Amino acid sequence: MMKKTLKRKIPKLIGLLLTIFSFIIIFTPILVIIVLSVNASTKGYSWEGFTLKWYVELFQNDVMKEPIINTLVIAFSSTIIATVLGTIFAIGINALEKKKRVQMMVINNVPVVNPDIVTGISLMIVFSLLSFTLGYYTVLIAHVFFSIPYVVLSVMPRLKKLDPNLYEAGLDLGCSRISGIFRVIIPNISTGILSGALMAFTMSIDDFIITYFTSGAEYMNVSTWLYATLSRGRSFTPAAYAYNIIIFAVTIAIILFVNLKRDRKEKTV
Amino acid sequence: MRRLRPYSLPYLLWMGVFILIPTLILIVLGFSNLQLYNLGVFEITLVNFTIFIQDQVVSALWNSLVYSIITTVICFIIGYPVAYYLSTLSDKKRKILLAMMIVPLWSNMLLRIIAWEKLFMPTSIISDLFGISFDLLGTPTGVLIGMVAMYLPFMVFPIFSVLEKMDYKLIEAAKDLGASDLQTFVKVTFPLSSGGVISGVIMTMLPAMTSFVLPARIGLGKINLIGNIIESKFMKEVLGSSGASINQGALISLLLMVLSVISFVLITRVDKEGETLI
Amino acid sequence: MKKLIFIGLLSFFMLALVGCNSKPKLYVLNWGDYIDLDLIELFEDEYNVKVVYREVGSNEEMATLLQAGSSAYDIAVPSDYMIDKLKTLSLIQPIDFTKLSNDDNMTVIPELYELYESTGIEDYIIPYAWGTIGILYNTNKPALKTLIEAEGWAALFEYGDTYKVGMYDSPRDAVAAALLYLGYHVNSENATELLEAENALKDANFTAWGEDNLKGLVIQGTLDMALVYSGDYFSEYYLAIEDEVDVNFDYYVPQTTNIWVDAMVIPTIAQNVELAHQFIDFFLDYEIALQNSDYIGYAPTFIEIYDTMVTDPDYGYDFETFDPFPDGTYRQMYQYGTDSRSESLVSIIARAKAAN
Repeated sequence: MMKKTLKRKIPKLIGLLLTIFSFIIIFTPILVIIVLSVNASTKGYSWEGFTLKWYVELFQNDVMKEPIINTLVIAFSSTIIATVLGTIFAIGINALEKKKRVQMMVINNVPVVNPDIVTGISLMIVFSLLSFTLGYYTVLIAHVFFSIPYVVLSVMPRLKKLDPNLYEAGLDLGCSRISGIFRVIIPNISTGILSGALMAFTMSIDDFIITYFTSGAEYMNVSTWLYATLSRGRSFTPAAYAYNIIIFAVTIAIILFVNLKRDRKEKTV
Repeated sequence: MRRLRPYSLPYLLWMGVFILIPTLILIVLGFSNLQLYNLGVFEITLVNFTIFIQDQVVSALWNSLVYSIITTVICFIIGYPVAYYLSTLSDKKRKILLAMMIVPLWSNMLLRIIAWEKLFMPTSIISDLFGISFDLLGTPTGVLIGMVAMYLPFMVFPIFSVLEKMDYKLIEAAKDLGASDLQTFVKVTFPLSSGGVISGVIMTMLPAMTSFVLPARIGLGKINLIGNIIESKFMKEVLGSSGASINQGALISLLLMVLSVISFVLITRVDKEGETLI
Repeated sequence: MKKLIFIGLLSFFMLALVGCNSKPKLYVLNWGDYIDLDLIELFEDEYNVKVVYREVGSNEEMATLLQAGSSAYDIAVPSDYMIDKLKTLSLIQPIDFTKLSNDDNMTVIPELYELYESTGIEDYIIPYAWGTIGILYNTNKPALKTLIEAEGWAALFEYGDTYKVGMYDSPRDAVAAALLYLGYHVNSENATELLEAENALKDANFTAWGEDNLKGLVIQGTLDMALVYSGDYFSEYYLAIEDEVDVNFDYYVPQTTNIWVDAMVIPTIAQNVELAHQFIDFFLDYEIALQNSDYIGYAPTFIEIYDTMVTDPDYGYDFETFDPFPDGTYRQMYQYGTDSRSESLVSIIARAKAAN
């Protein structure tokens, strides 16, 4: 008996240890960035004492303001647009007959699997053919483009679990085609929509390559700005680390808050 | 549901514009001397293929293959048990832990790479503060650690999402029929999760292959991957070769697209609609 | 959820509207952190225009953007050899010096002017900053200083087994260093000389090929020395002084080296040529140019500014390596050369890197 439980416990223990190891390796760079963001030295070559001045500078530095605003505006707006469009497309694709559905999903996966650099160059080519001026809108289109497939991929499994008769029943009960979607379908696939949105946001906020190729003179995000500032002889201010940590802290806080709130709800119910 | 079909049509149009057209252009560029920034008359030629016999391109292709395969294997060895472990946790715990795995990805990639770079120097703020010092810059180990840390979540997510959705009745059935834990895993659990594994492999391997900032900085420019060649062809050499570098870059991009297509075939074999990609 | 989407879309369109602005726009293409942005604001106020400022990290990126023509840049600040190429491709236009009222008050440093006066680019440029390429080394090893001062370029190429050496990952600079080491001219087109340079790069046993990261690698001890731009050294030096940390590195410029010069040019695609001239003229004003050069910290290209920065103790740029061209030294400057030469430079360092 003893032996059997031990045997069962070993795989679980390995899983636990590897999970801890994964979190260590994934969080290591974040810890280094935290240290860099509170280090008094501009260059971060050595530890020169604790400071919060980079966090103060972050809000005073005009040079960084624009890339940060651009990054966040694009991340939020592309996430919203991609989530809306992706959900609609997924609903449409789900309604197709099997063969067509598979074909659509294969097309959907092209941007997911394609290397960023190929996607970036491809989009640049299309924009220059359509003679769009590169800038805010081309970056937005690009981000929406590479985010939609992730939304579709997250929404599809939930849609498939949905009973098709439910929607028809909704229509019978007097819903219009549109209100049927909002009243019957959307509430049932909301988890999928949410995780799709999360993925879209993840892809957008950290994008460098695709933005690099599709942004013109007037648009820079944090990544392209950092890359330019690293050129010949120059370097960026540690306020960039501070920005990163703030984003990180806020998101962690939101996740914990949402979970705590859900806990409380469950308890009261 | 049928009347919802039209909602998929705009997507076809949208994808046609952004996937079909660029692919055609890349094909034309790769097989001709067309100048991207000066579109005009062009001739079909195979001259761009000469890059595939150049030492540096051959070694970059070889390096890409070696590094992406090793990275993928390590990510799989670590990632599968992690995904499995996460899927056994309570709903609440796994949600928090998965979110905690995504959030580091919201940190800027360039800054994360610079963080590894700092950590791997003989003297750094980390050695000042904690007395730990790694001298790993320019070594294969350093590059591999950086890559595993960067792409591991992309291995965990798809495997997790398959394991999470798996029908546990099948596992119980196997056990009822007398299979040991190991047998159940090898014969039932693992085959059922193979779709997720394939997606994880692709999501790890292709980005690892085409990364260029990481090998340039952590590998001290001595470990060049195919991403470094493409970056150089499209961003650094452009003028120097009367535009031909773009045609060569297009050809390498096409090669990567072919790889992607092969990946699709693999995915669709196992998982018809590629749902396990995330 | 619906509400959220609505608010999102609304804020998105609001932001889009804010972007519209009827002031004339001047598009400027420059290196990262290479201009005092306060001065740009001053210019915007004075001329009631909007300056759209884009930063890039290399000459090649600049050229790509000008060639792609996706945005109509009015001003760009490329370097010597790239200006040469842009001119050949008719991507830049001559500057109308009669429109520059401050030009008469400014004199380009004669030694610098001599280096490019008959190359054909002199009518297209207003030089912005200049400097050298040289060797940045870690001073923690005392023997290294003596070695570098005795050996010059040979230190980079012959001591790769004893010391950890970094090379600039840029075809033109790496090959130039090898040519200088061999005693040839940086613009050599001679096949034998280039082959020798390639072999020198292959045999040198470099520990690293890098760009902006080389300076940090030297300072933090991963490398003992590396080929860098003078700008790499200056920015580190000023920051070390500002942060009051020990300066554990120094910069050595061999007897013969290459001069780089960045200059303002007006691209052919410029939509606002008049305003571009006004912008250049604005930065030719003595006070403005002085403030800008002090901000950048590289050697200024005009005698008037240079003298103030070196002699006026308020500025204090009187350290040894600040002058890119001291008496008794030899200086060369890149020219673009032929396309096939540029291509061969790319293959040379690609092969050298693969062999290293």
